[in-house]
Amino acid sequence: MKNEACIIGVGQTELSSNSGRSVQRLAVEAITAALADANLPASAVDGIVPSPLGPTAEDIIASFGLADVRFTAVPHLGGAGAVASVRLAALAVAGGQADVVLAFVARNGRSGARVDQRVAAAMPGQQFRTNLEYPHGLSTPAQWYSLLCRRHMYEFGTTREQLGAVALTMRRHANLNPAAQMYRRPLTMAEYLASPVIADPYHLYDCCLETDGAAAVLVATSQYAARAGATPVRIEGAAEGHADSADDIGNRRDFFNTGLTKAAPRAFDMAGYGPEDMDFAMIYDCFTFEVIHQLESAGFCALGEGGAFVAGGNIALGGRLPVNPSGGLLSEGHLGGMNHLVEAVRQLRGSCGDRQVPGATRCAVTGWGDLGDGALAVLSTADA
Amino acid sequence: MVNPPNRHDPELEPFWDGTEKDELRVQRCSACGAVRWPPRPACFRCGGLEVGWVPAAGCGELYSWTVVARSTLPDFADQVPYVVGVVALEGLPVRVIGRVETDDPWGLQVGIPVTVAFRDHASGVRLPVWLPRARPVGGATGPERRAM
Repeated sequence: MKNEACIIGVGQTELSSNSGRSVQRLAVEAITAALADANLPASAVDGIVPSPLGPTAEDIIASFGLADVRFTAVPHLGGAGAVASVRLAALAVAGGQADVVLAFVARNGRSGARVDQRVAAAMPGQQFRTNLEYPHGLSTPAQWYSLLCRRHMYEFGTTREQLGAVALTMRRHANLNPAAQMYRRPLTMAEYLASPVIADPYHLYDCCLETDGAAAVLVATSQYAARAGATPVRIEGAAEGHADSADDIGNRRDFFNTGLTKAAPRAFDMAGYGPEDMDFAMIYDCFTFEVIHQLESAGFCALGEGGAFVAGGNIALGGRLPVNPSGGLLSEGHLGGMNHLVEAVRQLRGSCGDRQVPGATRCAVTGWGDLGDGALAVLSTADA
Repeated sequence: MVNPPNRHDPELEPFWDGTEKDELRVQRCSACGAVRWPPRPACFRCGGLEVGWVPAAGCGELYSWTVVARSTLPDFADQVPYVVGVVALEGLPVRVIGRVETDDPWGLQVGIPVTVAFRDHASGVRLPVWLPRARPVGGATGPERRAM
């Protein structure tokens, strides 16, 4: 699929804590924006990759009156699902199974089904969650993933201040993004350190936002893009991976060898580039430590060095590897990471204003979820 | 109670049979002897379908933990802050997740020894929980890093 598939349109609604409308309506708005961006009519869509929660392919077919959708698939990778869905879309168009595949996420993540309700419906290993974790009071992503963070602090000396460097960097980026939920809401290290505990070592500002909104991405072949006159961003490589003991976080021989550890080299090999070739990265920052964790897993720094890497300013705009110029899930908003793909495309088109990574031609987008699933995509400008 | 445990879950019933007698058990493949947790219908190593169980020593080491200060589970809302830990079982290559009962949730350390205790649960099962053992940390064989 290398060089055969590209993203030809992106669209996103506003990000809020109370959209005041249905997830179906949000989806339609984001998809309509993506179609306008690609300069295509809805009738061009013949493949749909929805997320496991939210509007279905059938909802979209009916809403737009699509005559003959011939490809659908649903990736079950939690927060790695957005990257995985774009990969599925790329495989579908490269394999000739569809011409234009729509991937989207639409949710009322704050005013509707919040994260604890979503994981109770969609997390893998429900049998273990129900019998072995809920009775002990363990039931949310903040709680599960704080276990990894704690162990990393023990093994490598990672500190709260280093976690705070992630939170503050994301907030500074969001303050350059008028569409971010945390725009014009600065955050200091003192505020970060004093914020209330959620699941220690995670405090309030270690946790991503819960957001209402929708984001959509359209994928087609390069040849199709050329015929349609759309401005493509190439999908150079994409892969997914799954942790050992995939549905149980406690029984991995190595806590930090997860799906992304396996997926990242595959995606980079396919792209023909390495982590050092990326101009910026969109890292799935559901929690502060997950940025450190994924920077290590994807090979941007060595295992155990992520804390020093983020505290050294490398992930800020102007640093060695700007991460999430939008403000990320921590400070822009959380649409299951689909907003990270939207931002990646807009950065590669050079249309991000104050938060633009100068001259950006190539980036990596990661996903993390479902207790250890991982995915990574390498995107580039068509002329890179 | 949200999502209560199932005393008669197909994979877990022998486990609950054990905790009812204050015995902690984990699965062991009857064909190749591989020990596994959580319980599964087949052996990850040899594919064997004959499931056996082995008693665990009931002690271990705190591998990681979280102090939950905000719970979304109604039964736990008035219990915060409380501790849930990952315990590496002594002598067995598996870890279990469970409540750590302590008066000092902010004073725990990775590697401290813990001992199992059993508590009746409103759902009818008997739950294994973990108690920190009063012995200084980092003795002759202090906690080992980067090891199972």
